[in-house]
Amino acid sequence: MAAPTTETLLERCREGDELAWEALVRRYQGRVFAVSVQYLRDREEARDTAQDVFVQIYRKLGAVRDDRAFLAWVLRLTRNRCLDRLRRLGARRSDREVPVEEAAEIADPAPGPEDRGLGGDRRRLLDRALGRLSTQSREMIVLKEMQEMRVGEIADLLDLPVGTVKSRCHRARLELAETVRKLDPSRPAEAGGAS
Amino acid sequence: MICRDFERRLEDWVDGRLASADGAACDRHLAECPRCRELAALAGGPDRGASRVPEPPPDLAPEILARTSGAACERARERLAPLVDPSEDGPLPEAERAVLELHLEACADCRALRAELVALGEDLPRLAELDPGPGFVEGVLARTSHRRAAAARLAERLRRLGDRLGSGLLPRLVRRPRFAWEAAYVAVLLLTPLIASAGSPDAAAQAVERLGRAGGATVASAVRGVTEGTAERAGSVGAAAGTELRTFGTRFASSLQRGGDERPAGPDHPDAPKEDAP
Repeated sequence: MAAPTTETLLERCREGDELAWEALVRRYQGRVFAVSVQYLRDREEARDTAQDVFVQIYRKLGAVRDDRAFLAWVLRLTRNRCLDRLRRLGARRSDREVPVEEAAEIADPAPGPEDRGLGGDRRRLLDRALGRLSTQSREMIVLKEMQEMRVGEIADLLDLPVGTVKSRCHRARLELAETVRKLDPSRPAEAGGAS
Repeated sequence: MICRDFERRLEDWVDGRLASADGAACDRHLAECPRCRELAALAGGPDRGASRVPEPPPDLAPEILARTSGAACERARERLAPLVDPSEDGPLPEAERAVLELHLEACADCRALRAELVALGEDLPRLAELDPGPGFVEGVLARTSHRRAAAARLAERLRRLGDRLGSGLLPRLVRRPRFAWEAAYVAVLLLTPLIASAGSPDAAAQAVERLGRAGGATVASAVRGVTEGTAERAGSVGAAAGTELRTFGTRFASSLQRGGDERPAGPDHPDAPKEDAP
């Protein structure tokens, strides 16, 4: 039997179906948490913020205008919540390089739903490299490369011109690739993704 | 064939790519033209270009570029991202792609960068979701279910209150003239000193104190009357609520009266205690 669509779950949530709400939480918890981790660079803070996001989603279910754009709306809420938290914690936290010891803590050693084939070493390397990026570049990577949002959606979210988002995405991608190579110059030129 | 025709065919003639008819025409021209023979000798002759041209030093091209257009890697990197991910703007135009591939053949750094970009394109989406750990979903459900239960309880209480008000209790209270007059009287007495002494807390306190002494009895009587009347009419709501209201009114009135009678005398009062002399 096919899993219910997000639109179906949302409709049932609005009717008070608590099982539908649980299913919705389980479906999106990974994404909300992943985005929170990248903004906040701290698993505990990210977990608290992710829970706050879901409480906010719950209160605003009736305000969702387009169920098909639910993920974009969720990512917007998550981003705003993370930025609020960062402002309270102090902006410096987001720009610091995460020490190697903490990178292992932030990078989830347990495979996520789409993690098959991504080795722990590779995951930790990517997380270290992400920690070295500027906040702006990391945000582009999170939204475009990880969450696979369209450039137009990102432009709407960040209230930026599409051209600006494109060029920032390109620069962020190059910056991340160059950072990964600097952190692990032993990687062969034609190596694949898994390690 | 004239010299210009030979010059256009020179590279293919050197690399042996000319069709046999063209090659024969070039050979005939070379037999008659010393200038073109010299040119052919410089190019290395037919079918021998690569084997007779000495290998240039590996840094020759970068040095030339540094003195002319600048390093090519920066430009190559601008094209690498769309080469690897054509999803937004479509693939690179063929000519740009071909030129970029030539650079990549010669530049190990850019080749490695391209390989890393390809790997990132595969790996980063796999980081889209992270496991928040045990108990996360339960925590969310507890917070949202609690809200739902609390909202339901509040809605029920409001519904019951609305039923009671709608039964006519409030309209009856409002329509009784004695209640309305007494409530207005108490409100004026309580608000007047506050309004008159706006911005001056000391003056407000003194005004209330004078009110308490001079009008405490009157106010007490009025408050008692209001609360008594309300308590009687609230009998249908609940005897306990009416009793509580009555008790409150009595205590409030008594405290107002005591405020006028029992306050310690001020320093100018004849009975006020005197400080010890040094």
